[in-house]
Amino acid sequence: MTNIISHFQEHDTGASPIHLHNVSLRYNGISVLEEINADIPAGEHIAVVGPNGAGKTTLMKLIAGLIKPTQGEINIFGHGPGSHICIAYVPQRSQVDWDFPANVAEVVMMGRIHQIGFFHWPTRADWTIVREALERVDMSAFSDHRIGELSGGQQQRVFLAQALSQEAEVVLLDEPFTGLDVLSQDAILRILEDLHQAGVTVLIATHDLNLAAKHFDQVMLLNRRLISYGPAAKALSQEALIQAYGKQVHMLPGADGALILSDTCCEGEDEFLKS
Amino acid sequence: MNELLSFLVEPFQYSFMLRGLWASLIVGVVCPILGAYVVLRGMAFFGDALAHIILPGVVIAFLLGWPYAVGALIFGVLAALLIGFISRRTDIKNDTAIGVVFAGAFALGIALISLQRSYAVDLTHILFGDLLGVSNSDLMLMGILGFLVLVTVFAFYKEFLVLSFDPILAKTLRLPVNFLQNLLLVLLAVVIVISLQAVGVALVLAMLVTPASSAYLLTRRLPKMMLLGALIGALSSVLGLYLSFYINVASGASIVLVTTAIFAIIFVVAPQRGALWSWLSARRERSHS
Repeated sequence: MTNIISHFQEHDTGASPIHLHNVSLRYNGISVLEEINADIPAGEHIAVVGPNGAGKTTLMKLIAGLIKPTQGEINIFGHGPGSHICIAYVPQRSQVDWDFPANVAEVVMMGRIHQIGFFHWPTRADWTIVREALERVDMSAFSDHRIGELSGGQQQRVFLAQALSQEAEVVLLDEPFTGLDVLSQDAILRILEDLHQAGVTVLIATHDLNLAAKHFDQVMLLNRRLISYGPAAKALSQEALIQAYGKQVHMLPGADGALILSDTCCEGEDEFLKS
Repeated sequence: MNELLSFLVEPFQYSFMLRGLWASLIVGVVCPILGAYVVLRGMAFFGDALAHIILPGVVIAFLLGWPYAVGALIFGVLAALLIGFISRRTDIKNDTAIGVVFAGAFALGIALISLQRSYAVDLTHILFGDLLGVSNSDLMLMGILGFLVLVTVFAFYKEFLVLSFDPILAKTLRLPVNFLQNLLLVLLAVVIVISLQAVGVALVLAMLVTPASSAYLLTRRLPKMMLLGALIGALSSVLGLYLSFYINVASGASIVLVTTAIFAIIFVVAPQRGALWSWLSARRERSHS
């Protein structure tokens, strides 16, 4: 599967897959991200957590090269993200046209079109890669189903297969678990473990702190600034959480440092930008 | 048998009918193939607008003695790029930008014609087509342009597919998104120019949208949708011409009426996506519960 990794941009040997230096983004005069510094080593799996409006999605888009920072520098394997095709970005669902007349295998093949190149058609080797990718996410049986016929979890798996067929080395997933049942969540976590074995660097944005602490070695706590970054136990310290979530964190009186965090899902993004 | 044969052959003993047949077949095949993208990307309004925008181009070309296609093509491409520019660079919504350019250009065309005060530029021919007035050189031009459109759609098939399905993926795969988008608009302008003489600016939209959306109801794959659309388009052209010949209605209108009738039938009876199908399955579910 790793035999034909082709790079749009040569990777510098020794350069980290993701390097953020003083990255800031202002949008319409509002500061969305401020001075983010991080160096992410190869093969790391990181959960990016934080309240709504913390800039998780923005960070993903910056790393994917879809938007440019107002300040600072982002390097992927030593070069700006815009010159890479090794980055797969799976946005929150509902962004594509689910009624589109394309089947699952075609959607997975879309990940390969840069490798295939202009004026060329997928070869047998490309279809083999697509088949293998679908096997790895356990979706082979659905290969000629229309993408709109699948459940949310299955759709996520198809997009992971697309990232696999792209032979991406940096995979960015925005809220991949939202709205999924436990079984589908587990299926995706298993695929991520598979990616871990293959040395792929993965960044996941989630609002689920429990899931982040339980399944990811490294956690980034974000609220416009990078509040903490490290092993879950350290990064999600009481102090850091209060700093990130402010009034949403409540201390249980009498308990030994137990914290309760009011649900952070689905509130207006703007509120946080103002506060 | 002989009667049927002569019924079928008779119209095409006239050379203008034969040229009309070829012209309408080119339109019937090329329009739906590009039309698949028009339908899937929700560009119907844009397509209709573009068809009207080329009116001043046609008039100016005529006044200067150029082939009408040249003027139409220049105006079509310019307008397509201008609309793209307005909606990308300002807060003005896409359909508003289209509306502004659409109405302005169409008014310019009408104004130019009214200044002309001569019978030479016939507004109805531009608006509703003049299939039976297609000359050999017109036919040649239509053939060449149609062929170029098909080759381009084929060559950029997978890029257009990704761009239409998932523009964010197109960006992360570092495809030249703006170039591809503009290319699609230019192709649309060319197809409209091809269709101009067959169905006229007022009805081009039907050939772009109706056969392609009929095909959409029948299949879940893009290549099949294009192929089926082309078949439906070609069939409509032929049937429409017979209709036009035997009951003496305007040819462009009769082609559009046939393709609309085909759509109506498919809309009712199509498996899974058709109206009858969903009515029946809703009934079945109700009777189960």
